[in-house]
Amino acid sequence: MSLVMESPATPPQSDPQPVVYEAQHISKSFGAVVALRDVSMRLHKGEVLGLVGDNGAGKSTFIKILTGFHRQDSGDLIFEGQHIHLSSPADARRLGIQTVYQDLALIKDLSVYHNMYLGRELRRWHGLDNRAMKRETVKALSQLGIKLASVDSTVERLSGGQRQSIAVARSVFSNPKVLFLDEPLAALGVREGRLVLNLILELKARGDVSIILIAHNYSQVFEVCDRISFLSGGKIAYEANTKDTTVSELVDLVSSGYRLGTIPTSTPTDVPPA
Amino acid sequence: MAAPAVVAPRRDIGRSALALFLRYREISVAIVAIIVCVVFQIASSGSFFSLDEMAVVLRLTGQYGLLALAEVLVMITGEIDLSAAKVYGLAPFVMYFFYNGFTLPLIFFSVQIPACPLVIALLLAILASACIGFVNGFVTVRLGVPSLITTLGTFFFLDGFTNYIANSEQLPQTYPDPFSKIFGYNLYTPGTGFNIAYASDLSIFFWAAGMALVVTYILKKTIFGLHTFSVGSNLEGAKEIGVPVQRTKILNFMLGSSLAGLGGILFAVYNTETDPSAGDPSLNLFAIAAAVIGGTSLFGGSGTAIGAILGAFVIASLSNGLPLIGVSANISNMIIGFAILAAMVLNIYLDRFRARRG
Repeated sequence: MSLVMESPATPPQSDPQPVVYEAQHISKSFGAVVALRDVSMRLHKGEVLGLVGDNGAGKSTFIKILTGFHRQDSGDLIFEGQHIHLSSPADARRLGIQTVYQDLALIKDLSVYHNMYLGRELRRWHGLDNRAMKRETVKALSQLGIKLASVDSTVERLSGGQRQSIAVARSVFSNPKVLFLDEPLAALGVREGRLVLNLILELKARGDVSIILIAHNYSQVFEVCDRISFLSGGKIAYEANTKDTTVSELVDLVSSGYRLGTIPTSTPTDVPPA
Repeated sequence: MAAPAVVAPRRDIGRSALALFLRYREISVAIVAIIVCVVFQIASSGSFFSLDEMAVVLRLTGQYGLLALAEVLVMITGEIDLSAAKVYGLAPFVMYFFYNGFTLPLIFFSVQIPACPLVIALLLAILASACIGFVNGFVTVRLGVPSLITTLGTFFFLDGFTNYIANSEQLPQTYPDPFSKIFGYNLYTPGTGFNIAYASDLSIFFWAAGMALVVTYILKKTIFGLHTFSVGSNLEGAKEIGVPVQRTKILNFMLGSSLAGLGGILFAVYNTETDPSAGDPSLNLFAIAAAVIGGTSLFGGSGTAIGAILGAFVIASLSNGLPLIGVSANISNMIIGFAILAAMVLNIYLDRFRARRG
């Protein structure tokens, strides 16, 4: 059975870039707990979208629906103009939707190049083609501007930023169309975070992959993202292009909204409410 | 300007020696092995390196070594196998019975199993070993019993089973040529000096060394080997990436058990008798110690076959060298225990050192 169910007529956008991935009116409850209410989102080609919000806001539920871990109760997922049903993360991966998790899933005792190729090893005869994997890893990392002393060293010996960069580099290796970065900056200091931000900027400059960045730190989000969505109480409470707003404006809005409960309600458009 | 040019090469040598040391875990245990040899050679005023003494040490190295290789495979995946020594004890009986034919009692009647050709009997014995490994792996991985407990269970079961089918008796058996020569029949008469027959006295050691190369190849050069390390290093991560973690673990249990079975067969052919008490529990513990001394982590994710053989050599040297220089059996056990502890502490510190220096 195909993943592609039907092709609805998605209205062409006025934006210069086509929509790659779209979520329409997604709702999800776990028992009596409503995790998401009518959340919509659009991701354009080559765009970096920041998804922010406090713990319990519904961020991770939303991401898990978009990457095939959970099924939504209602609402639609549209990938490259076609309705899709994701029954597992593998389904999402097959379509080109990759996720870099917070816990990284790197193998600390293996070398960098073995990590890059784990699960899709290059072989020669019946054995591993270590030389080719090493060569290709060096090439891929240098293209992304990731500097390492040696791809021979085990991941255990790398810094946090280097590890995160390797994890991201591994997921762009398979040329995904959409890349989810789950709090890639969470455990990193300023200098280490810089490595990852530069990598995101590099991917953005290439424009091949659309990125959804889940993060807490607004100023870092502002630097790399084209657009920001703020999730609160299972709804998109605020959405803005980063060039139309500032960090302090967002912070003010978020904190005042919290206090007063008057965050402007979401509109599933790319243009923020004025 | 001249001074750095002179200094630089020396520092490079130091650094590359350090890099080598960091990269190959075997080097530290090799150094320990050399120290042990030198000490015994001096303390025994030259008799440690005599032909007869070395034959005993290397034979024991082979016995411990094959079981240590089994432990390395299983321990890299983050598990442990306590039943390996009992597989070592059972496998030659399986070969013996298939070679001679036997009566298989079923519940209501019994079936006469005819005598098999020797090669078939050997293969069936290895296959039986692999099956025990499969059971260990399956119960551990699929039913979620910790391998320490699973293999403790198979340990007692196999101990009972082996004694049951052997009727607790040693069964003498001389196997025909050329099988016996390939699988360790001894042609050497001690004290006749170095000749070609001397090598036959060591065949279990050569087998262990050869298997160490095979295991090294599997671990370093095959996709299965890469998966083996990844499973032990980060089980959840490996699963997420799509490594078949359950299959990898079960296959390692099977490979390890097969090596243990091979060791038992070699030992039985050497002794020209099959002994139900051959799989002594201490053999298993020495094998685990040899693996750990050789740099295999108890927590999975790292280990080497060559290191395990070197570790087996260190333990074999201690258990033979200490009596040789006049240390009583009890004292020498105390020294071996202390040496194992010291090696493990050293390994932990070396790991930290490596992690910092990377």
